[in-house]
Amino acid sequence: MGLKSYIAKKVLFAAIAYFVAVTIVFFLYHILPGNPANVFALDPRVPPAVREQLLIRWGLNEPLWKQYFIFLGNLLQGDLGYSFLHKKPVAEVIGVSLPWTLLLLGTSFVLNAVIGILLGAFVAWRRGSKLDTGFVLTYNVYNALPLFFVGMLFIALFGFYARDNDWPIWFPIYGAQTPGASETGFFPYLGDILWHLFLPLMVLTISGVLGWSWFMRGNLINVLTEDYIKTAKAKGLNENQVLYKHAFRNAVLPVITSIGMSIGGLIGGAVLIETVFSYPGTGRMLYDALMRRDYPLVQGAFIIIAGITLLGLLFAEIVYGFVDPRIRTE
Amino acid sequence: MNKKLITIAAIVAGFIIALSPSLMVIAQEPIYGGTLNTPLEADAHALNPFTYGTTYEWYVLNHMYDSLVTLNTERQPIPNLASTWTHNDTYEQWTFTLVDNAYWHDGTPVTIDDVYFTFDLLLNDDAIPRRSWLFDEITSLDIVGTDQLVVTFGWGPKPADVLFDLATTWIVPESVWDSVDLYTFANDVNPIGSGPFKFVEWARAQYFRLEANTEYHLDGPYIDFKVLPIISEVETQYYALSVGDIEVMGNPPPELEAVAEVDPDIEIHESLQDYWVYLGLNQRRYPNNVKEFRQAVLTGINRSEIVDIIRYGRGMVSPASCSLPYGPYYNPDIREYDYNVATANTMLDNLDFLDNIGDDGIREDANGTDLSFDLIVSADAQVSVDTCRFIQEYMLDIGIEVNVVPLIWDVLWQTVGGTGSPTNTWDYDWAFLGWVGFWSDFHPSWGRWLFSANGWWGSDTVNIPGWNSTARWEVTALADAILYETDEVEVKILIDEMQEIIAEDLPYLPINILGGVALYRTDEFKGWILGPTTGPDNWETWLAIQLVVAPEGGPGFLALSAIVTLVVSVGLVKYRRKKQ
Amino acid sequence: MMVLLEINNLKTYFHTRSGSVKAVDDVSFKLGKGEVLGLAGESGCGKTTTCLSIMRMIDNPGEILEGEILYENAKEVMGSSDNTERTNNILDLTDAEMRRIRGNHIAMIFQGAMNAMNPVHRIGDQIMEVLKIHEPEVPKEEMWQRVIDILEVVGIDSSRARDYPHQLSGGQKQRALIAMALINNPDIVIADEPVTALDVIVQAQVLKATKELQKKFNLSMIMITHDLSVIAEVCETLAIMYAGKMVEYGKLRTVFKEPSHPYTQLLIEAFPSIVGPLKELKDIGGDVPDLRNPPLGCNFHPRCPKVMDICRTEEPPSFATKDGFVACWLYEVKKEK
Repeated sequence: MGLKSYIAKKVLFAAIAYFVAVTIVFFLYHILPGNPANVFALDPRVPPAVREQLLIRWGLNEPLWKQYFIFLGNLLQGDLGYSFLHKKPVAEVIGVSLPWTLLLLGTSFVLNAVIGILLGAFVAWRRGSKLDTGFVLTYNVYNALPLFFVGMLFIALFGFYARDNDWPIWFPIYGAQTPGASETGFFPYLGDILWHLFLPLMVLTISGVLGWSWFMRGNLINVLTEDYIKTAKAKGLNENQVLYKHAFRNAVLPVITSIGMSIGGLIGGAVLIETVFSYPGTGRMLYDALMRRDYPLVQGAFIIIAGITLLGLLFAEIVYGFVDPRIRTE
Repeated sequence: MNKKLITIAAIVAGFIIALSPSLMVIAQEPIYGGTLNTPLEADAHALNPFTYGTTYEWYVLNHMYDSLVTLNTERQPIPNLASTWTHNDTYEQWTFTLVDNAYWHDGTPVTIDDVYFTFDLLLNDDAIPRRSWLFDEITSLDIVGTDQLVVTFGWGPKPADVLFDLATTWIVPESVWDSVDLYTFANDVNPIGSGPFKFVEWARAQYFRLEANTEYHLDGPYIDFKVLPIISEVETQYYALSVGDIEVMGNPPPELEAVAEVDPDIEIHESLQDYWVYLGLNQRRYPNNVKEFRQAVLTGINRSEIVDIIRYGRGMVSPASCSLPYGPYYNPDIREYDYNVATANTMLDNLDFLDNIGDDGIREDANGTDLSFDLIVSADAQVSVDTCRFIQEYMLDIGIEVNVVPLIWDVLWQTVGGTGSPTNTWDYDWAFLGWVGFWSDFHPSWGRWLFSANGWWGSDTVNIPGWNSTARWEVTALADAILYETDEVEVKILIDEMQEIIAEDLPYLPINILGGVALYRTDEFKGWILGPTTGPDNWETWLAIQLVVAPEGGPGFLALSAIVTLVVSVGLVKYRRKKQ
Repeated sequence: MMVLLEINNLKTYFHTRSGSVKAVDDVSFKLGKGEVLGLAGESGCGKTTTCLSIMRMIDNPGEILEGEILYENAKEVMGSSDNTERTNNILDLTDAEMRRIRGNHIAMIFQGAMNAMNPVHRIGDQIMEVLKIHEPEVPKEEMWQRVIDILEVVGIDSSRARDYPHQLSGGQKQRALIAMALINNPDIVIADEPVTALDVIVQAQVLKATKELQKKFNLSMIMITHDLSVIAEVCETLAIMYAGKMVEYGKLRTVFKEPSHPYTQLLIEAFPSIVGPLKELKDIGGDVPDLRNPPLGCNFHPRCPKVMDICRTEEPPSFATKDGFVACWLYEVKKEK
């Protein structure tokens, strides 16, 4: 089987998985106690006539299976539904928050992957050195701290203490931009956005980099004991050639798998970090929508998140196919 | 001129120049400028003044929209878009006169047609929820002349009802709202109101930016901008307040309140919230329907300890009448239920609820059934669950067993029948719940809303505690009488009586009134207006607040004031000499 | 016969927290041009460590403490300048020089059925890599041609050059590894258990091919194995190691027919012979000693059926045999006679 059919197979599986996920999301929110019909039924402020009218307007008076097919049909046309709360199409509401989340998560993701893998390789190659010991210690200490706590610590330290004590640099502790910064020109605005991005990004990235490099370190240490490393050395390759041509690629294989898996966790972390730093992302919006029972928005957000997660997984699997010949030539 | 005179004049002038900023205050000359930053804990969803659903949305909208009448921090009606209002002797006909200098943010004048349009919309459009029950009672709306709206009711509601409920409805411009779908209009692009602040920008989940309405028809605002950053975590809000990013915040955690106490630039304001929590004994079940039993239970609860420990001393023990302890309608002579274990035990002994069966420390009722109750409470609110655990302990001291059952809110609300659904079963023993927004301190209809069998919450469809003693019908009759009574003195007497009955019969076992704490900075802005039930960040403050120090007064300004003060002081000295 | 490789008093220890493991302790032997030396002994006796020492591929915490490894052509990798003053001891070479020895002059084959080939690279590329390192000036097409050629030589169809290791059978992988070792015409090939994991039929095929190639290129080989039957098939000389020491060395025939050391005798008895008369198999009682703390005297004495008093206190030196040596006190007397 070649690479093409491998990719085709993976795309097909991802599509099936997505369909299943979307179906589960739909039924979950129509069966749970906070379901949309109940929300109207429970809200005493909504007069019965209005309630009836709304149920008809949102198609909530139809039987569940019919609602499901209407939902699927709309979804195919890119229509995620209509947010009760925001009084806007769900896609539009998510469209406002998603770029911020993608900025935060995307940047963090790239930094995690690149720095994490390189740092992991670096410390693994120097296993047992002071640097490695320091790394292991840092990882274990940082890992023991909840993300929320680290966030609050950063806020207190770099946002409050630094400013209170006139440190040369401090960082904003809430929001994604200074009000009015968009009128200051492109580069000052970009700078303002990056300045606001710094602290949440740091919290996400430090934990991500440490986690990934820890994983990479373990993989590489294992790989370095493999026989093909001895073979490579016996050929006369120098250490760098052994590391990069033979050890690195093999050690990176499991990391690629976990990259895909970690996207879900990253989104979970984003909810926390966005809340701690009052960052205007999808995670926080989703949390708010859940609390306010804006079910089309919750459903839409989950559909998007499921899509991003599956895309991430698919991407990882395709990369894996390129990197590991055992997968694509099975 | 002699030298002495000049010397004295110079010294006086120097003093005056040095003190000029404070003199400005004495002179009540407003200082214009500045940006006031007041945080929101969560974002708004839309800016629709008819369908908003959160306090955050109300808060944002209140900057931009005005009503005929506005409530001040003392909860008294003050003129806003209506310069005056009158009513006939029977209260059936109300006439509001529109001010002549109010403008929409787009520059067009606010007309009586806009007012009529808004009221008519709420009266006749089914798609939007009415914010006031009084719309149901309106029989006609009429425009008289060019600036008067006459509202006619089928009977005569009292001034409190009309002014607080109906006249506080935000007025919207007809030009915008006559062409939109009221229910689905998000109004988030360029909301046009006539309020003290104009919309500039809404960065979703980040901030609102508002600018002062310089054409505003009332005095103020003096600040240039108001920014409402959205800061989710209260700790972060505190840090932001500490460094001066924001000027005010609400409900800091107690430990941060303690820190704020020592900051010379931060002041603390405590207030009461219109929010009280109660223990609901389902009186559809025995022995909850025994009045003396309810009284014994309330006597057995150490409510001040709950306030002190669980609420960190914020708020207060609720009066047994469930009314807020200030305002014109509060009756202080009602029965009190001070915590006393011995009294509570005696009360239960007198009921013959003794621990006859077994020696388990749990009393039995007249049927020989253990006094053992499930207490359901919202699992979403840890404070409520904690309160229930305290109640559980207190009850053990008087021989009553309580099992705390935390439930998710929807399930809880359905179980206690709060939904008013025809399929209600009210399948519970005790429930821990709260009421918010019933304005008992100034509203004569307060008792009707909560207790009258003719009101929604006290009706047979809801009636959460299942109150059905003769007292219920007495209260219902009083509520009806109050509704139609036009003599204020008589109203007060009726409400006093109602409160006495409620305090005696205890349909609800009120635990505590919640308190609010706000922190605000005083170094940059002055003119915060505070009230017993409002924090510093309120509508009156928005109009009054101004910078402590004039922004960048510039050398010209200083020189001018120096010259003025010099001339004045020289004149003063001369005058004095002449007198001598 | 010209001596190509001479190992004298090699000591390689592994430093662990609980003491030094004397993995290779005072080992000496010679390897002639075209000679195939079998290195046999139980697992953990130091065979592989000896060979990795020759390759100078001992990693931390291991260390080559003493001894010399003289390689006849060592000077070829040295810079042109001060060759004359330097010895042929490859332990004195710089790391860069040593890398030019590896794969080029001395090649090593690891157990191929396991993970000796990198799973993510094509076998042809892996073989070609040797050329790329040592003869970068050769055009790529020529390199590839040589890869194809050598694969044909070891008996792999040239079309498999673009395959990945997992697509080959165990025997093919082992052949590919042999090809990798041979491609640059090394003087010496060290094979570490080259056929252990293969089934018997494939073992025989690979061994046959190995022997043919060895003859064809007149290779010197060191064949590490714990399987004496493998040695019998391809080796001319046999060295037996026990607990880090070389206990016996000699011509294959001599060691097989007239084993001197009690350990060798037991080892040979422990192996079934396909051709000889059916005998009862014996196992050697006891365990290999703890090399961190080896017994006093001869390492083998706790298990030795012919143990004498002196064995318990003093280490036996090497005593000459017909065509080699043995390290056993039994032969001291003979020498004195």
